[in-house]
Amino acid sequence: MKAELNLEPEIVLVTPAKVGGCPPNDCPPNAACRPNTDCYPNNCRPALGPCGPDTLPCYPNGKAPEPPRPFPRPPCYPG
Amino acid sequence: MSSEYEPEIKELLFSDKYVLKSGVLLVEGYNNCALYDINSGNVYSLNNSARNILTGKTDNSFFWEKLRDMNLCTTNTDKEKSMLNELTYVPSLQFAWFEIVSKACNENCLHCYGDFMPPTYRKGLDKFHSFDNSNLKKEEKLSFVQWKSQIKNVHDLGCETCQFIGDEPFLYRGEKGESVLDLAEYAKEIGFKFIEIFTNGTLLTREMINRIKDLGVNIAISLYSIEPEIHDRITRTRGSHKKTMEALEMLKEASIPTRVETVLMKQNETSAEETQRFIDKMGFSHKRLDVLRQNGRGDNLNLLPSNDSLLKHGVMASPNFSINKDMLARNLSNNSCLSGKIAITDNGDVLPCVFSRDQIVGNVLEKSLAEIVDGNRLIKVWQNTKDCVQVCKDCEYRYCCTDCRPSSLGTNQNVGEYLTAPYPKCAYNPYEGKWGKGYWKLDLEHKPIYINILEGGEEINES
Repeated sequence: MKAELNLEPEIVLVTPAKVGGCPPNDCPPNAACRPNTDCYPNNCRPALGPCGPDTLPCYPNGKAPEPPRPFPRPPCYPG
Repeated sequence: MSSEYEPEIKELLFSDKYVLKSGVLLVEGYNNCALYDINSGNVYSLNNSARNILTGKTDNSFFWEKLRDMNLCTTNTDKEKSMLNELTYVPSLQFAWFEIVSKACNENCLHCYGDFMPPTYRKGLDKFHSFDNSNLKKEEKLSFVQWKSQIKNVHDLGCETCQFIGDEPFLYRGEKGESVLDLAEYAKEIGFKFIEIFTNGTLLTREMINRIKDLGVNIAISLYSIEPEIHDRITRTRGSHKKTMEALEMLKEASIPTRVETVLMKQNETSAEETQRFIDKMGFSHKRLDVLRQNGRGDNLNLLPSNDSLLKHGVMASPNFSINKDMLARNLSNNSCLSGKIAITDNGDVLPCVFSRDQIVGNVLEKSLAEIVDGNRLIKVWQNTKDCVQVCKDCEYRYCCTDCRPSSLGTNQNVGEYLTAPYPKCAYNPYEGKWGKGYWKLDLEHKPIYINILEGGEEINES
Protein backbone atom coordinates (compact mmCIF):
# COMPACT_ATOMS: atom_id res chain seq x y z
CA MET A 1 0.00 0.00 0.00
CA LYS A 2 1.11 3.50 -0.62
CA ALA A 3 1.95 5.67 2.34
CA GLU A 4 -0.85 8.12 2.90
CA LEU A 5 0.01 10.20 5.90
CA ASN A 6 -2.14 12.74 7.69
CA LEU A 7 -4.97 12.55 5.18
CA GLU A 8 -8.50 13.00 6.36
CA PRO A 9 -10.54 9.81 6.04
CA GLU A 10 -12.79 10.01 3.02
CA ILE A 11 -15.84 8.08 2.01
CA VAL A 12 -17.45 8.87 -1.33
CA LEU A 13 -20.55 7.29 -2.82
CA VAL A 14 -19.74 5.92 -6.28
CA THR A 15 -23.22 4.67 -7.07
CA PRO A 16 -25.11 7.23 -9.12
CA ALA A 17 -28.47 7.87 -7.54
CA LYS A 18 -30.42 7.03 -10.67
CA VAL A 19 -28.82 3.67 -11.21
CA GLY A 20 -28.94 2.22 -7.73
CA GLY A 21 -29.31 -1.50 -8.26
CA CYS A 22 -28.50 -1.22 -11.96
CA PRO A 23 -25.09 -2.79 -12.30
CA PRO A 24 -22.75 -1.72 -15.03
CA ASN A 25 -21.74 -4.09 -17.72
CA ASP A 26 -19.12 -4.44 -20.31
CA CYS A 27 -21.21 -3.26 -23.14
CA PRO A 28 -20.99 -0.47 -22.62
CA PRO A 29 -19.51 1.34 -19.64
CA ASN A 30 -20.85 4.43 -17.96
CA ALA A 31 -24.44 3.30 -18.04
CA ALA A 32 -26.75 5.79 -16.47
CA CYS A 33 -30.49 5.63 -16.58
CA ARG A 34 -32.21 8.60 -18.10
CA PRO A 35 -35.65 9.77 -17.10
CA ASN A 36 -38.39 7.57 -18.47
CA THR A 37 -36.08 4.68 -19.04
CA ASP A 38 -36.03 1.31 -17.41
CA CYS A 39 -33.02 0.16 -15.53
CA TYR A 40 -31.63 -2.80 -17.34
CA PRO A 41 -28.60 -4.63 -16.02
CA ASN A 42 -26.17 -3.16 -18.45
CA ASN A 43 -27.88 -0.12 -19.82
CA CYS A 44 -31.07 1.86 -19.99
CA ARG A 45 -33.75 1.53 -22.53
CA PRO A 46 -37.01 3.34 -23.17
CA ALA A 47 -39.60 2.43 -20.59
CA LEU A 48 -41.68 -0.07 -22.46
CA GLY A 49 -43.15 -2.01 -19.60
CA PRO A 50 -41.85 -4.15 -16.78
CA CYS A 51 -38.27 -5.14 -17.31
CA GLY A 52 -37.53 -8.76 -17.80
CA PRO A 53 -35.05 -10.06 -15.29
CA ASP A 54 -31.38 -9.90 -15.97
CA THR A 55 -30.60 -11.09 -19.45
CA LEU A 56 -34.03 -10.29 -20.78
CA PRO A 57 -35.07 -6.99 -22.26
CA CYS A 58 -38.22 -5.10 -21.48
CA TYR A 59 -41.27 -6.22 -23.34
CA PRO A 60 -43.48 -3.74 -25.09
CA ASN A 61 -46.50 -5.76 -24.07
CA GLY A 62 -45.39 -5.55 -20.47
CA LYS A 63 -45.02 -9.27 -20.07
CA ALA A 64 -42.04 -10.03 -17.92
CA PRO A 65 -40.54 -13.51 -18.11
CA GLU A 66 -40.12 -15.59 -14.99
CA PRO A 67 -37.14 -14.81 -12.79
CA PRO A 68 -34.09 -16.87 -13.61
CA ARG A 69 -32.12 -19.02 -11.26
CA PRO A 70 -28.93 -17.57 -9.81
CA PHE A 71 -28.40 -14.09 -11.04
CA PRO A 72 -26.98 -14.10 -14.54
CA ARG A 73 -25.10 -11.05 -15.67
CA PRO A 74 -26.33 -9.69 -18.95
CA PRO A 75 -24.88 -11.15 -22.09
CA CYS A 76 -22.65 -9.12 -24.31
CA TYR A 77 -24.59 -9.49 -27.46
CA PRO A 78 -22.57 -9.07 -30.55
CA GLY A 79 -23.69 -6.21 -32.64
CA MET B 1 4.02 -3.20 -5.74
CA SER B 2 4.31 -3.67 -2.04
CA SER B 3 4.64 -7.23 -0.80
CA GLU B 4 2.43 -6.47 2.21
CA TYR B 5 -0.58 -5.88 -0.04
CA GLU B 6 -3.01 -8.75 -0.32
CA PRO B 7 -6.39 -8.29 -1.95
CA GLU B 8 -9.03 -9.08 0.62
CA ILE B 9 -12.67 -8.75 1.44
CA LYS B 10 -13.65 -8.16 5.06
CA GLU B 11 -16.85 -7.83 7.02
CA LEU B 12 -18.08 -7.05 10.54
CA LEU B 13 -15.16 -4.68 11.11
CA PHE B 14 -15.56 -2.93 14.44
CA SER B 15 -14.39 -0.26 16.83
CA ASP B 16 -14.95 -0.20 20.56
CA LYS B 17 -18.48 1.04 19.97
CA TYR B 18 -19.53 0.28 16.39
CA VAL B 19 -19.59 -2.62 13.99
CA LEU B 20 -20.21 -2.61 10.25
CA LYS B 21 -23.70 -3.83 9.50
CA SER B 22 -24.28 -7.27 8.06
CA GLY B 23 -23.87 -7.00 4.32
CA VAL B 24 -21.47 -4.05 4.45
CA LEU B 25 -18.18 -5.37 3.16
CA LEU B 26 -14.76 -3.82 2.83
CA VAL B 27 -12.97 -4.74 -0.39
CA GLU B 28 -9.30 -3.92 -0.41
CA GLY B 29 -7.58 -2.36 -3.38
CA TYR B 30 -3.94 -1.52 -3.86
CA ASN B 31 -4.24 2.15 -2.96
CA ASN B 32 -7.83 2.69 -1.88
CA CYS B 33 -10.60 0.40 -0.78
CA ALA B 34 -14.36 0.22 -1.21
CA LEU B 35 -17.36 -0.49 0.95
CA TYR B 36 -20.01 -2.61 -0.73
CA ASP B 37 -23.42 -2.26 0.91
CA ILE B 38 -25.50 -5.12 -0.43
CA ASN B 39 -28.45 -3.93 1.65
CA SER B 40 -28.82 -0.65 -0.23
CA GLY B 41 -26.93 -1.49 -3.44
CA ASN B 42 -24.49 1.35 -2.84
CA VAL B 43 -20.74 1.24 -3.29
CA TYR B 44 -18.42 3.73 -1.59
CA SER B 45 -14.81 4.66 -2.26
CA LEU B 46 -12.58 4.98 0.81
CA ASN B 47 -9.08 6.35 1.00
CA ASN B 48 -6.29 4.75 2.92
CA SER B 49 -6.92 6.78 6.09
CA ALA B 50 -10.48 5.50 6.17
CA ARG B 51 -9.23 1.97 5.59
CA ASN B 52 -6.88 2.28 8.57
CA ILE B 53 -9.77 3.35 10.78
CA LEU B 54 -11.99 0.48 9.66
CA THR B 55 -9.25 -2.10 10.10
CA GLY B 56 -8.41 -0.81 13.58
CA LYS B 57 -4.99 0.58 12.74
CA THR B 58 -6.05 4.05 13.80
CA ASP B 59 -8.86 5.30 15.97
CA ASN B 60 -11.37 7.90 14.83
CA SER B 61 -14.77 7.91 16.49
CA PHE B 62 -15.98 10.80 14.29
CA PHE B 63 -15.53 8.69 11.18
CA TRP B 64 -17.43 5.77 12.73
CA GLU B 65 -20.22 8.19 13.63
CA LYS B 66 -20.28 9.35 10.05
CA LEU B 67 -20.66 5.73 8.93
CA ARG B 68 -23.46 5.32 11.46
CA ASP B 69 -25.25 8.33 10.00
CA MET B 70 -24.89 6.72 6.56
CA ASN B 71 -26.52 3.57 7.93
CA LEU B 72 -23.37 1.54 7.36
CA CYS B 73 -22.56 0.64 10.95
CA THR B 74 -24.44 0.09 14.20
CA THR B 75 -23.89 -0.13 17.90
CA ASN B 76 -25.61 -3.51 18.01
CA THR B 77 -22.28 -5.26 17.98
CA ASP B 78 -23.71 -8.64 19.02
CA LYS B 79 -26.52 -8.85 16.50
CA GLU B 80 -24.71 -8.46 13.21
CA LYS B 81 -23.99 -11.75 11.48
CA SER B 82 -21.63 -12.86 8.77
CA MET B 83 -22.91 -12.47 5.25
CA LEU B 84 -19.87 -13.76 3.42
CA ASN B 85 -20.82 -17.35 4.22
CA GLU B 86 -24.15 -16.85 2.49
CA LEU B 87 -22.58 -15.61 -0.70
CA THR B 88 -22.59 -18.88 -2.55
CA TYR B 89 -23.09 -19.22 -6.26
CA VAL B 90 -23.41 -22.38 -8.27
CA PRO B 91 -22.82 -21.69 -11.96
CA SER B 92 -25.28 -23.20 -14.38
CA LEU B 93 -26.07 -22.74 -18.03
CA GLN B 94 -28.12 -19.56 -18.45
CA PHE B 95 -27.70 -18.43 -22.03
CA ALA B 96 -26.77 -20.07 -25.31
CA TRP B 97 -25.89 -18.71 -28.71
CA PHE B 98 -26.83 -21.07 -31.50
CA GLU B 99 -24.52 -20.07 -34.34
CA ILE B 100 -26.39 -22.03 -36.95
CA VAL B 101 -24.51 -20.62 -39.93
CA SER B 102 -20.77 -20.13 -39.77
CA LYS B 103 -18.62 -18.92 -42.63
CA ALA B 104 -21.53 -17.76 -44.75
CA CYS B 105 -22.98 -14.30 -44.70
CA ASN B 106 -24.64 -12.14 -47.30
CA GLU B 107 -22.73 -9.14 -46.02
CA ASN B 108 -19.00 -8.70 -45.66
CA CYS B 109 -18.64 -6.25 -42.77
CA LEU B 110 -15.36 -4.48 -42.29
CA HIS B 111 -15.18 -5.34 -38.60
CA CYS B 112 -16.64 -8.86 -38.46
CA TYR B 113 -15.39 -10.67 -35.37
CA GLY B 114 -15.72 -14.03 -37.07
CA ASP B 115 -14.18 -13.07 -40.40
CA PHE B 116 -17.51 -14.03 -41.98
CA MET B 117 -18.28 -13.24 -45.62
CA PRO B 118 -20.25 -14.53 -48.57
CA PRO B 119 -19.00 -18.01 -49.56
CA THR B 120 -18.16 -16.84 -53.07
CA TYR B 121 -15.78 -14.25 -51.62
CA ARG B 122 -14.13 -16.88 -49.42
CA LYS B 123 -13.67 -19.26 -52.34
CA GLY B 124 -11.94 -16.50 -54.21
CA LEU B 125 -9.70 -15.71 -51.26
CA ASP B 126 -8.73 -19.36 -50.78
CA LYS B 127 -7.81 -19.50 -54.45
CA PHE B 128 -5.89 -16.25 -54.19
CA HIS B 129 -3.89 -17.53 -51.23
CA SER B 130 -3.47 -20.98 -52.82
CA PHE B 131 -4.69 -22.43 -49.54
CA ASP B 132 -4.18 -26.18 -49.53
CA ASN B 133 -6.84 -27.73 -47.35
CA SER B 134 -6.56 -31.22 -48.73
CA ASN B 135 -5.09 -32.53 -45.48
CA LEU B 136 -7.78 -31.04 -43.30
CA LYS B 137 -10.72 -33.07 -42.06
CA LYS B 138 -13.84 -32.16 -44.00
CA GLU B 139 -15.74 -29.91 -41.67
CA GLU B 140 -18.89 -31.57 -40.51
CA LYS B 141 -21.98 -29.41 -40.00
CA LEU B 142 -24.77 -30.07 -37.57
CA SER B 143 -27.84 -31.34 -39.35
CA PHE B 144 -31.31 -29.98 -38.60
CA VAL B 145 -31.99 -32.99 -36.40
CA GLN B 146 -28.68 -32.52 -34.61
CA TRP B 147 -29.46 -28.84 -34.02
CA LYS B 148 -32.79 -29.79 -32.50
CA SER B 149 -31.02 -32.29 -30.31
CA GLN B 150 -28.52 -29.65 -29.12
CA ILE B 151 -31.25 -27.12 -28.48
CA LYS B 152 -32.99 -29.75 -26.36
CA ASN B 153 -29.73 -30.56 -24.57
CA VAL B 154 -29.23 -26.89 -23.73
CA HIS B 155 -32.77 -26.65 -22.37
CA ASP B 156 -32.34 -29.88 -20.39
CA LEU B 157 -29.38 -28.25 -18.66
CA GLY B 158 -31.74 -25.59 -17.31
CA CYS B 159 -31.15 -22.86 -19.88
CA GLU B 160 -34.21 -20.91 -21.00
CA THR B 161 -32.74 -18.01 -22.94
CA CYS B 162 -31.04 -18.27 -26.30
CA GLN B 163 -30.10 -16.37 -29.38
CA PHE B 164 -29.87 -17.68 -32.93
CA ILE B 165 -27.02 -16.03 -34.72
CA GLY B 166 -24.72 -16.54 -37.69
CA ASP B 167 -23.05 -15.16 -39.85
CA GLU B 168 -26.57 -14.49 -41.13
CA PRO B 169 -29.01 -16.92 -39.48
CA PHE B 170 -31.68 -16.46 -42.16
CA LEU B 171 -29.25 -18.11 -44.60
CA TYR B 172 -29.60 -21.35 -42.65
CA ARG B 173 -31.18 -24.23 -44.54
CA GLY B 174 -31.66 -27.70 -43.09
CA GLU B 175 -31.58 -30.84 -45.20
CA LYS B 176 -35.21 -30.39 -46.09
CA GLY B 177 -35.09 -26.66 -46.45
CA GLU B 178 -35.82 -25.89 -42.81
CA SER B 179 -35.05 -22.35 -41.65
CA VAL B 180 -33.99 -20.59 -38.49
CA LEU B 181 -37.67 -20.06 -37.75
CA ASP B 182 -38.22 -23.82 -37.66
CA LEU B 183 -35.44 -24.10 -35.07
CA ALA B 184 -36.85 -21.15 -33.13
CA GLU B 185 -40.28 -22.78 -33.20
CA TYR B 186 -38.80 -25.95 -31.78
CA ALA B 187 -37.02 -23.98 -29.05
CA LYS B 188 -40.33 -22.35 -28.19
CA GLU B 189 -42.12 -25.70 -28.11
CA ILE B 190 -39.70 -27.24 -25.63
CA GLY B 191 -39.92 -24.29 -23.27
CA PHE B 192 -37.35 -21.60 -23.98
CA LYS B 193 -38.69 -18.43 -22.37
CA PHE B 194 -36.69 -15.94 -24.39
CA ILE B 195 -35.59 -16.46 -27.97
CA GLU B 196 -33.85 -13.85 -30.04
CA ILE B 197 -32.60 -13.91 -33.62
CA PHE B 198 -29.69 -11.63 -34.41
CA THR B 199 -29.80 -10.74 -38.08
CA ASN B 200 -28.86 -8.02 -40.51
CA GLY B 201 -32.51 -8.05 -41.54
CA THR B 202 -31.82 -7.98 -45.26
CA LEU B 203 -33.49 -11.33 -45.94
CA LEU B 204 -36.65 -10.73 -43.92
CA THR B 205 -39.91 -10.98 -45.81
CA ARG B 206 -43.42 -10.11 -44.70
CA GLU B 207 -44.24 -13.79 -44.48
CA MET B 208 -41.29 -14.34 -42.13
CA ILE B 209 -42.32 -11.32 -40.06
CA ASN B 210 -45.80 -12.80 -39.62
CA ARG B 211 -44.33 -16.07 -38.45
CA ILE B 212 -41.90 -14.31 -36.09
CA LYS B 213 -44.88 -12.49 -34.61
CA ASP B 214 -46.83 -15.73 -34.18
CA LEU B 215 -43.87 -17.43 -32.56
CA GLY B 216 -43.25 -14.59 -30.09
CA VAL B 217 -39.59 -14.42 -31.02
CA ASN B 218 -37.48 -11.31 -30.49
CA ILE B 219 -35.28 -9.78 -33.15
CA ALA B 220 -31.95 -7.98 -32.90
CA ILE B 221 -30.60 -6.07 -35.87
CA SER B 222 -27.34 -4.29 -36.61
CA LEU B 223 -27.67 -0.78 -38.00
CA TYR B 224 -24.33 0.90 -38.46
CA SER B 225 -25.55 4.26 -39.58
CA ILE B 226 -28.59 6.25 -40.50
CA GLU B 227 -26.54 7.33 -43.51
CA PRO B 228 -26.95 4.72 -46.29
CA GLU B 229 -23.48 5.29 -47.70
CA ILE B 230 -21.80 4.77 -44.33
CA HIS B 231 -23.81 1.66 -43.53
CA ASP B 232 -23.14 0.14 -46.95
CA ARG B 233 -19.48 1.00 -46.73
CA ILE B 234 -19.24 -0.89 -43.44
CA THR B 235 -21.20 -3.91 -44.66
CA ARG B 236 -19.38 -3.66 -48.00
CA THR B 237 -22.70 -4.55 -49.55
CA ARG B 238 -24.43 -2.08 -51.80
CA GLY B 239 -28.11 -1.65 -50.96
CA SER B 240 -27.82 -3.31 -47.55
CA HIS B 241 -28.97 -0.17 -45.72
CA LYS B 242 -32.14 0.00 -47.78
CA LYS B 243 -32.98 -3.62 -47.06
CA THR B 244 -32.23 -3.32 -43.35
CA MET B 245 -34.41 -0.22 -43.14
CA GLU B 246 -37.25 -2.01 -44.92
CA ALA B 247 -36.95 -4.82 -42.38
CA LEU B 248 -37.10 -2.33 -39.52
CA GLU B 249 -40.26 -0.80 -40.96
CA MET B 250 -41.90 -4.22 -41.17
CA LEU B 251 -40.82 -5.13 -37.63
CA LYS B 252 -42.19 -1.84 -36.33
CA GLU B 253 -45.45 -2.29 -38.15
CA ALA B 254 -45.82 -5.79 -36.68
CA SER B 255 -44.82 -4.58 -33.16
CA ILE B 256 -42.20 -7.28 -32.88
CA PRO B 257 -39.86 -6.70 -29.91
CA THR B 258 -36.72 -5.55 -31.66
CA ARG B 259 -33.49 -4.08 -30.50
CA VAL B 260 -31.23 -2.29 -32.93
CA GLU B 261 -27.55 -2.18 -32.12
CA THR B 262 -24.71 -0.10 -33.47
CA VAL B 263 -21.05 -1.03 -33.31
CA LEU B 264 -18.96 2.11 -33.08
CA MET B 265 -15.92 2.35 -35.31
CA LYS B 266 -14.02 5.07 -37.10
CA GLN B 267 -16.18 4.74 -40.20
CA ASN B 268 -19.48 5.58 -38.47
CA GLU B 269 -18.49 7.73 -35.51
CA THR B 270 -19.73 10.94 -37.08
CA SER B 271 -23.26 9.60 -37.43
CA ALA B 272 -23.41 7.08 -34.58
CA GLU B 273 -25.22 9.25 -32.06
CA GLU B 274 -27.69 10.43 -34.65
CA THR B 275 -28.29 6.78 -35.53
CA GLN B 276 -29.13 6.03 -31.93
CA ARG B 277 -31.55 8.93 -31.79
CA PHE B 278 -33.19 7.56 -34.93
CA ILE B 279 -33.51 4.13 -33.30
CA ASP B 280 -35.10 5.77 -30.25
CA LYS B 281 -37.48 7.69 -32.45
CA MET B 282 -38.57 4.51 -34.19
CA GLY B 283 -39.40 3.05 -30.78
CA PHE B 284 -36.84 0.25 -30.84
CA SER B 285 -34.66 -0.57 -27.88
CA HIS B 286 -30.89 -0.48 -28.00
CA LYS B 287 -27.86 -0.59 -25.83
CA ARG B 288 -25.33 2.17 -25.81
CA LEU B 289 -22.89 2.28 -28.68
CA ASP B 290 -20.81 -0.86 -28.64
CA VAL B 291 -17.21 0.05 -29.33
CA LEU B 292 -15.50 -2.20 -31.84
CA ARG B 293 -13.82 -5.26 -30.39
CA GLN B 294 -10.45 -6.00 -31.93
CA ASN B 295 -11.35 -9.56 -32.82
CA GLY B 296 -11.42 -11.15 -36.26
CA ARG B 297 -11.45 -8.47 -38.96
CA GLY B 298 -12.05 -5.98 -36.14
CA ASP B 299 -8.36 -6.31 -35.37
CA ASN B 300 -7.55 -3.48 -37.72
CA LEU B 301 -6.19 -0.14 -36.59
CA ASN B 302 -7.97 1.58 -39.49
CA LEU B 303 -11.29 0.77 -37.82
CA LEU B 304 -10.52 2.08 -34.35
CA PRO B 305 -12.66 5.05 -33.32
CA SER B 306 -10.95 8.34 -32.56
CA ASN B 307 -9.56 9.03 -29.11
CA ASP B 308 -12.47 11.34 -28.37
CA SER B 309 -14.97 8.63 -29.24
CA LEU B 310 -13.02 6.07 -27.23
CA LEU B 311 -13.06 8.35 -24.21
CA LYS B 312 -16.74 9.07 -24.59
CA HIS B 313 -18.01 5.61 -25.39
CA GLY B 314 -15.24 3.10 -24.91
CA VAL B 315 -14.03 3.43 -21.34
CA MET B 316 -15.60 3.86 -17.97
CA ALA B 317 -14.14 7.25 -17.16
CA SER B 318 -15.72 7.82 -13.76
CA PRO B 319 -17.00 5.44 -11.08
CA ASN B 320 -20.42 4.02 -11.71
CA PHE B 321 -20.96 0.96 -9.59
CA SER B 322 -23.67 -0.76 -7.66
CA ILE B 323 -23.97 -4.11 -6.00
CA ASN B 324 -26.45 -6.64 -4.74
CA LYS B 325 -26.14 -9.94 -2.95
CA ASP B 326 -26.55 -12.15 -6.03
CA MET B 327 -24.15 -10.10 -8.10
CA LEU B 328 -21.52 -10.18 -5.38
CA ALA B 329 -21.92 -13.93 -4.86
CA ARG B 330 -21.51 -14.46 -8.57
CA ASN B 331 -18.54 -12.13 -9.01
CA LEU B 332 -16.64 -13.55 -6.04
CA SER B 333 -16.45 -16.94 -7.70
CA ASN B 334 -17.30 -16.48 -11.38
CA ASN B 335 -16.67 -14.26 -14.36
CA SER B 336 -19.20 -11.44 -14.38
CA CYS B 337 -19.93 -11.84 -18.09
CA LEU B 338 -18.96 -15.31 -19.26
CA SER B 339 -20.29 -17.49 -16.48
CA GLY B 340 -23.34 -19.45 -17.54
CA LYS B 341 -22.93 -18.87 -21.27
CA ILE B 342 -21.94 -20.97 -24.23
CA ALA B 343 -21.99 -20.66 -27.99
CA ILE B 344 -22.44 -23.68 -30.25
CA THR B 345 -21.19 -23.20 -33.79
CA ASP B 346 -22.47 -24.97 -36.88
CA ASN B 347 -19.68 -27.56 -36.77
CA GLY B 348 -20.46 -28.40 -33.14
CA ASP B 349 -17.67 -26.44 -31.50
CA VAL B 350 -18.55 -25.01 -28.13
CA LEU B 351 -17.14 -21.57 -27.28
CA PRO B 352 -17.50 -19.51 -24.11
CA CYS B 353 -18.60 -16.54 -26.23
CA VAL B 354 -19.20 -15.90 -29.92
CA PHE B 355 -16.37 -13.37 -29.87
CA SER B 356 -13.92 -15.95 -28.47
CA ARG B 357 -13.33 -17.84 -31.70
CA ASP B 358 -10.18 -19.64 -30.63
CA GLN B 359 -11.32 -20.68 -27.16
CA ILE B 360 -12.96 -23.96 -28.12
CA VAL B 361 -13.93 -25.90 -24.98
CA GLY B 362 -15.32 -28.98 -26.72
CA ASN B 363 -17.34 -30.25 -29.65
CA VAL B 364 -20.83 -31.69 -29.33
CA LEU B 365 -20.14 -34.17 -32.12
CA GLU B 366 -17.37 -35.69 -30.02
CA LYS B 367 -18.71 -35.29 -26.49
CA SER B 368 -22.06 -34.72 -24.86
CA LEU B 369 -22.99 -31.12 -24.12
CA ALA B 370 -23.46 -32.00 -20.44
CA GLU B 371 -19.88 -33.26 -20.30
CA ILE B 372 -18.58 -30.12 -21.99
CA VAL B 373 -20.53 -27.84 -19.67
CA ASP B 374 -19.22 -29.76 -16.66
CA GLY B 375 -15.75 -29.98 -18.13
CA ASN B 376 -12.68 -28.27 -16.74
CA ARG B 377 -12.07 -26.17 -19.84
CA LEU B 378 -15.38 -24.35 -19.67
CA ILE B 379 -15.53 -24.21 -15.88
CA LYS B 380 -12.09 -22.59 -15.86
CA VAL B 381 -13.42 -19.83 -18.09
CA TRP B 382 -16.67 -19.43 -16.15
CA GLN B 383 -14.77 -19.22 -12.86
CA ASN B 384 -12.26 -16.69 -14.12
CA THR B 385 -12.88 -13.87 -11.66
CA LYS B 386 -11.33 -10.43 -11.70
CA ASP B 387 -8.88 -11.79 -9.14
CA CYS B 388 -7.20 -13.49 -12.12
CA VAL B 389 -7.09 -10.41 -14.33
CA GLN B 390 -4.01 -8.22 -14.40
CA VAL B 391 -4.59 -4.79 -12.85
CA CYS B 392 -8.22 -5.59 -11.99
CA LYS B 393 -7.00 -7.97 -9.29
CA ASP B 394 -5.62 -4.94 -7.44
CA CYS B 395 -8.78 -2.86 -7.77
CA GLU B 396 -11.31 -2.40 -5.00
CA TYR B 397 -14.17 -2.40 -7.51
CA ARG B 398 -13.32 -5.83 -8.92
CA TYR B 399 -16.41 -7.54 -7.50
CA CYS B 400 -18.91 -4.90 -8.60
CA CYS B 401 -17.42 -4.29 -12.02
CA THR B 402 -17.70 -6.20 -15.25
CA ASP B 403 -15.42 -7.88 -17.68
CA CYS B 404 -14.97 -8.79 -21.31
CA ARG B 405 -12.33 -11.38 -22.07
CA PRO B 406 -12.61 -11.07 -25.87
CA SER B 407 -12.07 -7.29 -25.66
CA SER B 408 -9.16 -7.81 -23.28
CA LEU B 409 -7.49 -10.31 -25.57
CA GLY B 410 -8.27 -8.23 -28.66
CA THR B 411 -6.55 -5.17 -27.20
CA ASN B 412 -3.57 -7.26 -26.11
CA GLN B 413 -2.95 -9.29 -29.26
CA ASN B 414 0.24 -11.35 -29.08
CA VAL B 415 1.11 -10.24 -25.55
CA GLY B 416 -1.90 -11.16 -23.44
CA GLU B 417 -3.54 -14.35 -22.26
CA TYR B 418 -7.27 -14.85 -22.61
CA LEU B 419 -7.90 -15.28 -18.89
CA THR B 420 -5.53 -12.67 -17.54
CA ALA B 421 -5.13 -9.79 -20.02
CA PRO B 422 -6.09 -6.43 -18.50
CA TYR B 423 -9.58 -5.12 -19.16
CA PRO B 424 -9.27 -2.21 -21.61
CA LYS B 425 -12.56 -0.44 -20.94
CA CYS B 426 -11.78 1.14 -17.61
CA ALA B 427 -9.88 4.37 -16.92
CA TYR B 428 -9.22 3.70 -13.23
CA ASN B 429 -5.70 3.40 -11.90
CA PRO B 430 -5.95 1.30 -8.72
CA TYR B 431 -2.27 1.85 -7.95
CA GLU B 432 -2.85 5.57 -7.56
CA GLY B 433 -6.54 5.46 -6.67
CA LYS B 434 -7.33 7.89 -9.48
CA TRP B 435 -9.60 8.02 -12.49
CA GLY B 436 -7.70 9.09 -15.58
CA LYS B 437 -8.44 9.37 -19.25
CA GLY B 438 -7.02 6.17 -20.55
CA TYR B 439 -6.96 2.42 -20.22
CA TRP B 440 -4.67 -0.47 -19.38
CA LYS B 441 -2.89 -2.73 -21.79
CA LEU B 442 0.24 -4.88 -21.85
CA ASP B 443 3.56 -3.72 -23.21
CA LEU B 444 5.85 -5.92 -25.27
CA GLU B 445 7.31 -7.37 -22.08
CA HIS B 446 3.79 -8.36 -21.02
CA LYS B 447 3.70 -5.77 -18.24
CA PRO B 448 0.60 -3.62 -17.71
CA ILE B 449 0.94 0.00 -18.72
CA TYR B 450 -1.59 2.80 -18.53
CA ILE B 451 -2.28 4.41 -21.89
CA ASN B 452 -3.41 7.97 -21.43
CA ILE B 453 -5.76 9.10 -24.16
CA LEU B 454 -5.47 12.81 -24.41
CA GLU B 455 -8.50 14.34 -25.97
CA GLY B 456 -7.81 14.60 -29.66
CA GLY B 457 -4.20 13.76 -28.95
CA GLU B 458 -1.76 10.96 -28.60
CA GLU B 459 -1.38 7.96 -26.39
CA ILE B 460 1.21 8.30 -23.69
CA ASN B 461 2.60 5.58 -21.52
CA GLU B 462 2.28 6.78 -17.94
CA SER B 463 3.71 3.77 -16.15
